[in-house]
Amino acid sequence: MGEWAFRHRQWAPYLLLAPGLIWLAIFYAFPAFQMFLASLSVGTIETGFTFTFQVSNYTDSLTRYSDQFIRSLAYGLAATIIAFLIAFPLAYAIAFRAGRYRNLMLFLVIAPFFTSFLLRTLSWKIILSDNGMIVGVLKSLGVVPEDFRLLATPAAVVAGITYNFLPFMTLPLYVALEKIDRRLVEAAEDLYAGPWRPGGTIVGTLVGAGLVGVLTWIFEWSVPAGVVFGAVVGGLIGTLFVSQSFLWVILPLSLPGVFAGSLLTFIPAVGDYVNAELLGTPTAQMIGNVIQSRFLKVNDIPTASALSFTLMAMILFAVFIYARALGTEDLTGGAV
Amino acid sequence: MGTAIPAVQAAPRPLSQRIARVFDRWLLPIYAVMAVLYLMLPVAVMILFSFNDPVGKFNLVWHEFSLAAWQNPLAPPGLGSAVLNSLIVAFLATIFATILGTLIALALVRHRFRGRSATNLLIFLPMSTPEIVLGSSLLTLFIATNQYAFVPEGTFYPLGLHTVLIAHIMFNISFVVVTVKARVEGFPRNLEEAGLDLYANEWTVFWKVTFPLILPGILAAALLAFSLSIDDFVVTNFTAGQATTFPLWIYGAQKTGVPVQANVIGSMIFLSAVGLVVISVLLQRRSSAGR
Amino acid sequence: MTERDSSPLTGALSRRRLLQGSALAGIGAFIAACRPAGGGVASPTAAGSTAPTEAPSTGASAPAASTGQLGGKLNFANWTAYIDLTVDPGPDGQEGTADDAYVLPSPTLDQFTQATGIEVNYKEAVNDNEEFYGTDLQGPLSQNQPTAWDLIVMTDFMAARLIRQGWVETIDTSGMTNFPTNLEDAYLTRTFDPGAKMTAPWQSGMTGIGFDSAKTGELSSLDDFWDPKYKGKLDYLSEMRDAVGLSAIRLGFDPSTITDDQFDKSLAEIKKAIDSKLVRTIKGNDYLTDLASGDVIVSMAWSGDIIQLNKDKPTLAFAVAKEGGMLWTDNMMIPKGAPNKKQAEAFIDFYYDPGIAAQVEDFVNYVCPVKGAKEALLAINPDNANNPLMFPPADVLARIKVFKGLDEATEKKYLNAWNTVIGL
Repeated sequence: MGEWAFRHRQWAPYLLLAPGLIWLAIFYAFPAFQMFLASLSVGTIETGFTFTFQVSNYTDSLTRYSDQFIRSLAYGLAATIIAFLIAFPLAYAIAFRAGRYRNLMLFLVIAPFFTSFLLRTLSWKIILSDNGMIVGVLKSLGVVPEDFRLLATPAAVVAGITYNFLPFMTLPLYVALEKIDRRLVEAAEDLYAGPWRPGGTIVGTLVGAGLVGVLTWIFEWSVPAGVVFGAVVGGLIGTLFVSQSFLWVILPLSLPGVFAGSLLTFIPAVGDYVNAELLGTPTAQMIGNVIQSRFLKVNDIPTASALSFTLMAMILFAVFIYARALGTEDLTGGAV
Repeated sequence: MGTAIPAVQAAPRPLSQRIARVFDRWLLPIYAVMAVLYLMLPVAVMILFSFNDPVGKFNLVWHEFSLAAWQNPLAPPGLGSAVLNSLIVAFLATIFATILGTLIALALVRHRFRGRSATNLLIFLPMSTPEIVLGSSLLTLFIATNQYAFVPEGTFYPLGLHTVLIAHIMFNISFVVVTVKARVEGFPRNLEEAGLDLYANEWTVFWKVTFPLILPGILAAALLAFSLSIDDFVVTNFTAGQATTFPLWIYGAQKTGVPVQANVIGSMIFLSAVGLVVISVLLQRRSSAGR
Repeated sequence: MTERDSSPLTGALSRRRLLQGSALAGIGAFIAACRPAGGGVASPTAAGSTAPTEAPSTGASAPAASTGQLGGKLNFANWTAYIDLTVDPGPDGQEGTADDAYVLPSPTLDQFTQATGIEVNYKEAVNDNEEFYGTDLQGPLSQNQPTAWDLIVMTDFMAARLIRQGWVETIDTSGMTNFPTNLEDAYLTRTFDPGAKMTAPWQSGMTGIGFDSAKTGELSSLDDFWDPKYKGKLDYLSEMRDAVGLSAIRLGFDPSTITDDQFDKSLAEIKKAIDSKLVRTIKGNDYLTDLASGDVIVSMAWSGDIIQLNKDKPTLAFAVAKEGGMLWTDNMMIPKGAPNKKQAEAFIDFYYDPGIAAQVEDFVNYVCPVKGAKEALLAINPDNANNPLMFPPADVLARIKVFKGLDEATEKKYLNAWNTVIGL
């Protein structure tokens, strides 16, 4: 057996690849191709669809749903960045500080997945309910006005998306951080890579202002107040915590993890529709809701397919740019 | 040794560096714990509300404590079979997807072959496709197969658990590949070469050297696949036909009120998973303590 | 080193495996043990509030004994909680507690099986008309294949579409005693199925105002849906015909004869409400969750839902607005090529017996299309029989409207306009 394998070993990769790739070809590529044909067809579900190379499906849907496209990209981006900001310190703590609790904490990060996300989202509805344990308390303390609500707002949708994909961001970050040789960090610090330089402050201020500004624009709160708030908080965090050894040693070395985590978060976030459906409001609908509506409610398969492929094209384009910027060699990241 | 090298005096640590130390020592662990608590918050609420005795059918407001739901967790019709279906599909999908994906990952990392970038593309695309597209394109495919002569009638349509399984394997493969690839890539080849030098054939080397070392990656991939499968809703909705899985059952029960028992099942799944890990951690510590 | 760590290590491994294995086995055993005894054999007479089994004999015409023992199987797809279910009080033996379960089969399904020998595979598979159409009907029927169902229940507009596409079987009433004899006359003149040849109405319902009377007082006008007092606490229905229909009535139009111009005007009103953030969400069935949690205090609602929600929130009420409301019907239909057509027809005939219809009505609380059901229900549950929401009085009947039947082009145009307004 070993000798036969040895002699025919140039076949080895193809034999290894064949089962999985054939499965994907039959159950992903072929149906996707059929859907691509459908996107260039016309017709209704009653009269049947005919392939006419109808490019107008694409152009029409782009103009008609530009709002939802932009919104989806904005929400996805916001969710990814927030997830990154939450997950990076968490992954850092698990990688560098957890010691023997490391596996346990990793498991706790992924454990929420072991319950249905519907149940989790319904729990968020209970938690964020207008008279519930958070908003209700705030109202009775007088911190927020009586008609304030968290649910059925863009904020809730972004929060929901962020929460759902946080583990996807944390795990790749952890894997990348864990691989970093501690001695490099120690060496950098020994070589007087001092913890504070203006770099941290500037980065913090800019990132804070930008992020919170975008968020307040999305959530339709006061943008100038958001920008100022973000600048102050970001500046503080940057000054205190963003050390040089972090900026110039840890962050660059963890880039493959940042890349993979961002991808694994951004991609499903942009196409998500369940959070917008359960936690959103009519003015906060994402492109995923439109696609679902077109497929299931209106049965307008050509438009729905065109929208789906447009969405995929946008995602792939964003991934491509990101990959160029970070210089990783293949699409799935060098080391997840 | 020539001239003695004077010891370098460490400069007194500046204030900012001391802040960084405090951050590292205290704030960071506290933050990590808080982040994990945030992740757990809806799970905690879900568990809490499994002990609720709601006033009516909707389990949205805390009313009073009751163990009744825990005593009769499968009372709502269809819940038991839905849970069983979810477990079966997740288990089988994990096994198949892990095997198929691991093979691909090994091929990608270890071998040179033509069509590498096409393979990478084919692996990556399902992850970037919205689930709704995956689901609806599969549905169209399954229905159309009834017309193909080479497919025996009834294989794919009517839909059922088998079509759900096919779909789950499909979208899990990509995730398995990515996860295992990461592990295999960072793994030095000199151990395998040593094995080969010591007259083991490739097969033995694989099973005795490579496989145990990449096993953590495979297990991580399997865990990921299992959790993706057991929680999947959109794709399952399109490919299940009359069959029900746990997420589908909850979605259907939403409008008339998700019964308390759904929370109970969710809690049981969660607690048993956590329990398993805690136990294995404790066992690991005991075994290493006994060394 | 080898001796020392082999035993604790392998010992630990096998202990760990043992624990894991027994945990899994334990869960498995738990699930198996907890399965409700006998699955669906919960005794039909264990029901608390549903009718005792003598009810069928009070029916005007003989029940399905006339079809004899047909035998066979029936695959029936229906909406949730749309048939009388049994209440299983659970281990504490008390009804109305958290461990209660509403179990299938229902008493009437049991009676049906006893009378005809037909085994019913009843599934609450319909959550939404278009969704069911997209996942279960359109695929096979467009390729001339039978669906997985012999009998389905679809709302008017979907019934009209299916009939238009020729995807519905004609009901063979030659051997039937109850249908269409016992069908209320109003249903015989519907434009998409005159004479009720292909649809057998299952339940009807009214669309009106659902509100929390503790927070809003008694509401009775459609203007309440545009009242800034309820900003952010207001839900609209995602069903185009219901929402636009109500808006049209408010503007003084008649939805059953609505024109394009009137449609646009009605839609514009809704757009105003959405843009000014009056409307919190636009929902299908899940508006009930919002009402139950108190996040929403006024909503467009369906009559039967509110009754079923009263246990959660006794202050919830329903009213058909004084300007008017919408009437819709869910219809039983036999999809084309259904293998068990005869069994489906036997089912329809059985359920048009007033006594059986009364039992279903008692549980479901919607509007019953069967003549004589009200009288039969008086014997079982007089409160329900006199409930104006289940048997609307003449003045209510006079002001509820059915939305106009649309052809394909118009339907598409209206749906597109509606979807643009709701952001989809």
